Amino acid sequence: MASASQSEIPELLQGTLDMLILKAVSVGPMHGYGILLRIQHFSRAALEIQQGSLYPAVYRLEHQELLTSEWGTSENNRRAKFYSLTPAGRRRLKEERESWSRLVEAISAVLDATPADLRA
Amino acid sequence: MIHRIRDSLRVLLDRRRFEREMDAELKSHIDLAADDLVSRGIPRDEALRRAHAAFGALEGAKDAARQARGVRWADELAGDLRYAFRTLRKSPGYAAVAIATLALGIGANTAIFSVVDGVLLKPLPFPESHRLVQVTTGYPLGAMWTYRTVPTSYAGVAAYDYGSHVNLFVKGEAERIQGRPVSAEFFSVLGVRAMVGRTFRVGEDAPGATAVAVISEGLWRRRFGANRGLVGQSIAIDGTPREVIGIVPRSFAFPAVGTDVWIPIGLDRKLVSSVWGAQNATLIGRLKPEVTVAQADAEHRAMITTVRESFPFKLPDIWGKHERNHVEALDAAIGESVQGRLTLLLAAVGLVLLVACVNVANLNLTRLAGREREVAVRQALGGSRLRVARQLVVEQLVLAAAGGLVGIGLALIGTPLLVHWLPPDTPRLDEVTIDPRVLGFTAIAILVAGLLASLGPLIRLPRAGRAELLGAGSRGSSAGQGRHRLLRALVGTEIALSVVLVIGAVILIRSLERLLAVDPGVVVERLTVARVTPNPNWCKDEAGPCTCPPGGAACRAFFPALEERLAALPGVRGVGLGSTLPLDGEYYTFPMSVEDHPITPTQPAPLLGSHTVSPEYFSVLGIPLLEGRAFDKTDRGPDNPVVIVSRALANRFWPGISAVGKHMKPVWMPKMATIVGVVGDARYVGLSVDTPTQDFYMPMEQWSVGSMLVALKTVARVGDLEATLRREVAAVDPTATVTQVRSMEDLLLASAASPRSTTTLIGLFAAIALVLGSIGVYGVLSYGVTQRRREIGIRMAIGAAPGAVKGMVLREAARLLAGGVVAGLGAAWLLASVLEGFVYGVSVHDPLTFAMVPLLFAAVGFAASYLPARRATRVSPTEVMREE
Repeated sequence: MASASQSEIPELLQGTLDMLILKAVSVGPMHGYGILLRIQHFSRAALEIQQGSLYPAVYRLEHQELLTSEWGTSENNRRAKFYSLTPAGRRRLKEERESWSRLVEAISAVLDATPADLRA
Repeated sequence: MIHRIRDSLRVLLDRRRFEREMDAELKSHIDLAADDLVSRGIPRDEALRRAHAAFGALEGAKDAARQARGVRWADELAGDLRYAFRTLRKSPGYAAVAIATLALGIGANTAIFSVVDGVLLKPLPFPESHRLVQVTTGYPLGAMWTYRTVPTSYAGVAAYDYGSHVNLFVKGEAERIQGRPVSAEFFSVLGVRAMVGRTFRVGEDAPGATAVAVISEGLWRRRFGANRGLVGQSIAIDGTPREVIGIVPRSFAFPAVGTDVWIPIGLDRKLVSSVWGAQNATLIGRLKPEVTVAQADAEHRAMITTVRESFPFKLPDIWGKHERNHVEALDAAIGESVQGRLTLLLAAVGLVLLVACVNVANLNLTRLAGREREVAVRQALGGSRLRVARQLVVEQLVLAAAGGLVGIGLALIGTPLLVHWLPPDTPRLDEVTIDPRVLGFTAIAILVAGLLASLGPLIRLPRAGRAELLGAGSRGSSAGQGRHRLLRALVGTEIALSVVLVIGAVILIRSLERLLAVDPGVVVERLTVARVTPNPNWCKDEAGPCTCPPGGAACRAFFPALEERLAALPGVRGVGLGSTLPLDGEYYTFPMSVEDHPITPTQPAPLLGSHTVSPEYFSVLGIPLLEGRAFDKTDRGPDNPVVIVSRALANRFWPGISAVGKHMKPVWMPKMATIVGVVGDARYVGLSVDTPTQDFYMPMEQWSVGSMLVALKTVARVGDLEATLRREVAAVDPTATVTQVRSMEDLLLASAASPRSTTTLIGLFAAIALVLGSIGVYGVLSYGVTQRRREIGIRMAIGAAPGAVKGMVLREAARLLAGGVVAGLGAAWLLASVLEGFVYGVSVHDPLTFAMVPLLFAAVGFAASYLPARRATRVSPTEVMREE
């Protein structure tokens, strides 16, 4: 059986992974491997996505019609499936982004709290 | 949501392409990753190996991707189906019992629903049939003149007559066929066209029009060899030559199945008694597109006074103002007479399906006992609880589908039998078929049955913890006990449902018994009756209104001549002729002027039952003469009209004094008739009507009618009375027809045909439920004994007598039954009022039934517990110990 910790991380990341993929594709159509590289690059190598979990997420987004795909040719002449955002995907990215900002703010507010805040 | 389903479907429809593309995409991913590594100087082989390793389990990712695209469920479903087929093949006994039980339930439901759908639910087979309406009470035909001009709700109004048979005389052979006088608008209002020729034109029902007829495709093929040349030719209908103007297709069967000819109704103002005398016309209409039934109804009610004032004689103000006089959608009006009974049947058969499902759910629970380890192993191996549950549901759906298929087979056989068994006057029976609509219903029944049957095991499943189950054997584990509780609850439910059905059936049976025991007011033994109709042309009014008697000399001569010949036959002890017979259902009322009871605005002309009879009628039928005299041969000619009245009529108008010597007449007759006798009450309108009808009888030779029922009293069984009768009739008039030959006993039975068919069917359903219920009891008790083998063995080892062990099982049976029966009695008590209107002479809460049915269930329950109890006493202590 898979260990408990592994099964929890994707769960925690699931929503976030979707958001990261949408963001990565939003700067220009890209294939699966390229999406991984982009996320790694944008995060300054701080985030590494499990390769195996990328495709289920991408397929789910396509299933929800947030992404569309098209076969094309990569920079080094390999056939690859390129994903791009649909209008719905663009909207979703915006929403996810806003709710993420709110979450970060809220969590920061908690973490930044001092004893003085108790009286407020 | 919709686009997701669309996407899944797209993938499913081209599954191979999806897999191919996914493989290609993953391969390109690995290649791209490897390219990167190669560009950093790693050899190709090593790069590929590393890229693969970095990706992780390829198959896992693919499976997750499939799920993300919403197609994994389809794969799993296919797996579940395969698994279900495999397990069912492994336990054919269980599968056979479950399929048979469900087939019975689903088949019976399909058959009953096909009838309900054909008779009540399907739209009528006419264009825009939702616009068709009917006036629910009979109107005198004369009302048509008002309805043609006054109302604004209709695109068209038509009338048809109650009378439904005519004589057809073709090539020397007389035949009585279903024929309808209808108004000229009849076909155009219904929207029906002729397949050959045309239908009626405006004015063809007016006096002086050419005599025409429209015939059915059936008659055209049967009697005229489908000859198209028939149109334009003349055929003799009721002795009148009529030109056939058109043939309508077989699919058209209105107003009754089997109608073979339609002739214009005589809308002649001169025929006062036929146009205004009886309320025997049914009005139908086609609403204008924007008009609702409610609007037409309001207009109809507002018009009652206008219609009343159109009569050539004055009617009381309250004429027509009763609840039953309204406008209704045509399909509802047609189905009205049987709607209650069919709904009752559908409810009863629904209960049977419920009992069948509970029975299968039971079976599943006991079977799950044997599969505990399998299920536990599946769960331990990572089959999620949901997955295992779905597995169970799929298995049950497979069973239900198999049961449903067998059930459809049963329904295909059973529906024609059912249609045959229903009273022949049930409307639209020809439209009853197992069609896609019915199969749709069956599909729903299958789904519901499958889900219900899997409910039992599903409830148990979540509690069946893995470790517990893995450890559990045949010993009484806690899971086993919990299941036993659920099992008992299910069997209790099953018994309760059966009790409801059985109580309903028993009440209906008792009611039918009472109904058939009613004294019909006639002596039915050794009576044979038949309808005899001479050339109807002889019996037409000759000189306009108010002749007494109507009809020509030939018509007047026919029945006395026939009477004389029949009376002379060997073995015949008496011959009676009447325009109607008790229990036959035909009944005509006339508005009457009665001596001492002048018609005033508050005292309407009473509508009284009218009968024309021969002098022997009363003695042959055994209707007692209470006062005065019967008719005799002197009662003829127009000068001294006489009548005989029923006791109920005499008591109504002359309570306490003799009615003999008083006078009465139909309102349009010029001359009062003298009452010469009073006879006992007979049940003309049906056995279940306890209030006696108020009837008057007129002598045949003063008031001849075109068609009479002949009643022959015979000494004992007389050979082929029908052939003799036909021969004698033909000897008097070869164009006369003889129909509806039957014994008076059959007529009595036929008068109870609809309660009989309902009661038989519900009795059958109750019997099925009872059998299923006892199987349920047997099953749960057997299971209990198996579960407690060890306990029983130990008890016996330490000296328990077989009797005590048996008692243990019987106590269990008693507990089971008691719960189910009490619940069932309660439910039946609450539901009993649905039988109101279907029972006669017995309360729907009949105490005797409510007291006896529990005894029946006790008997059946203990019979079902006999085998398990005996098996319990055979448990061998040493064997049980050895098993440990």
